[in-house]
Amino acid sequence: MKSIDRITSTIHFEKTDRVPVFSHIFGYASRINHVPLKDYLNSGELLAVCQLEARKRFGYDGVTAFADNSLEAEAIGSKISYRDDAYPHIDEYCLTNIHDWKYLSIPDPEKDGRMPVIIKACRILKDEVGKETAVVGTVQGPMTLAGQLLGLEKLIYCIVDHPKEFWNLLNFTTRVMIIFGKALINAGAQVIHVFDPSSSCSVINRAVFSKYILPHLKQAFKEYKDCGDPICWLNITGQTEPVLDLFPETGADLFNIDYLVPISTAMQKLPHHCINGNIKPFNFISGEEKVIQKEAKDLLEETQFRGGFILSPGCEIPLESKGCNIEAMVKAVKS
Amino acid sequence: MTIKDIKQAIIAGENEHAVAIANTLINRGVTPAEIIINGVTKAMEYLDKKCTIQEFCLLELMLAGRAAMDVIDHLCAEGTLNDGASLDSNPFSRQKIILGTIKGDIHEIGKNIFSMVMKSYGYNVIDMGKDVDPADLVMSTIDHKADFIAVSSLITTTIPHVREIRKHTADRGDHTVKIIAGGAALRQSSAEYLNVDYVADTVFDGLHYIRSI
Repeated sequence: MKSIDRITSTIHFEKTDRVPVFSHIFGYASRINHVPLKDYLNSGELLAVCQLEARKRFGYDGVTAFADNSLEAEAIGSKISYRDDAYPHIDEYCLTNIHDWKYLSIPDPEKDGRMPVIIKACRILKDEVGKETAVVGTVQGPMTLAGQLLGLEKLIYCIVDHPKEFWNLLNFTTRVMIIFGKALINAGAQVIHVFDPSSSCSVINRAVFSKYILPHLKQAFKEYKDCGDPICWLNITGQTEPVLDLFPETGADLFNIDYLVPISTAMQKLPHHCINGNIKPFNFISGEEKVIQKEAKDLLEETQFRGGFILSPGCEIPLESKGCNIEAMVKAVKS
Repeated sequence: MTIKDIKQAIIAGENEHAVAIANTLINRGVTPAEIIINGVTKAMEYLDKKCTIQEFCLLELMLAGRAAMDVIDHLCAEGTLNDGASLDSNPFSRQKIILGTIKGDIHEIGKNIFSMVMKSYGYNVIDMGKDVDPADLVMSTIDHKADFIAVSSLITTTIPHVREIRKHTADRGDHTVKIIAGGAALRQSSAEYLNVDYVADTVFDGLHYIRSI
């Protein structure tokens, strides 16, 4: 069975030859190919080659066109600093106050910042392996991108102090994620992965999620679905238990579950939707293979009668992870 | 209006309301110490019970923290609160904490919340900011004769720098300062792995550890 068919069937709770496995390997792909992370994040060709090599080495079900969380913010105007051995960070937010959102321009994915780098990587990945495996395109979710434009601390106070402007800024960031996501779909992405860790209940509560975030996610996923019917994947890392029951309303097909949420809880709250998760990411650094093997085995046993499950870490695999631990995770679904 | 109303306003994150109540109470002759101990600290104790690792919510804690700090700042600005003198009933108020986001990371929210909570309990917090070299944390500890070093990080690539802190304290002959780590990345690890005394799951977990020493 091809990886892409395995994933599609799993999303629909149909029978597969084995449980699919996602690696959440992003920048780690540069490390194992001895490419400086900074170069990986700035070259579509390098990013694609490293992704392909990582997949070849470990044998998981998907490749990802994704650089870092600052990519969209940089294309809009936030100033970022690169480091050789770590992800870039924002030095200067493009907004000093929330009211200035109206002066921001929607970036052009073919021209602005490093968006063209990711579009190029996506096209290469689609050409190379798109017929057999899932090409995943990642966009920042509305809350996370808003935080990258204003600074999360300021943004959080704005929820209460300037709720109308908070809503307006989310309208803007949602338009950015829709345009970038559609560009990725047009470049060959079969899965659109919306990454929105700042929407977790570790940051905001259920009331704010329901009133402000949910309508924007709903709008984005609807527009993605109208543009080639990709698999829509919502990834809110951190604590999400209080809002899991609201996830189906977003219109997404697949939901990432982080290690903080027991998989049994996710199965109970999302009985008819595919979920992926949720090996503790830090264990890929500090744990022995047997730790990963046990976590994977427990998850596979717990979900075996349910279907609609993809094994993965709860969040991105850290840059310092041990390769043997990733092998142990992949081996768990193949043995 | 009573001190209980300050507690409720802080819990609700209503900073301006909390300050207005504090002002009214001061004018009625309520002491700043009573406002801090029975208003601000009681609000924090309520949040302490609520904010477990499952229930922790940055939004609510930040709003409450801002309200608490606004009340404390107002009392200081009015000259009614004199450098902790009003907190004499709090046995921990003289302890010093050197705080920073460790080298390699610039995320400050968790650190800032920790600072707000510890200050509202009367601790003397010296905030070194973000991207702080472990050697600078230790130098500051010696300069200020601090009791604790608290470091935070959201990303795992900073872990080698966290592990260095103990070496720097040992090199300086300081074997008494306690090192505490927190933040999304560090809390997945263990004290042994990070070479620190304690890894806090939440800001209040950190508070409990510090109070237990």
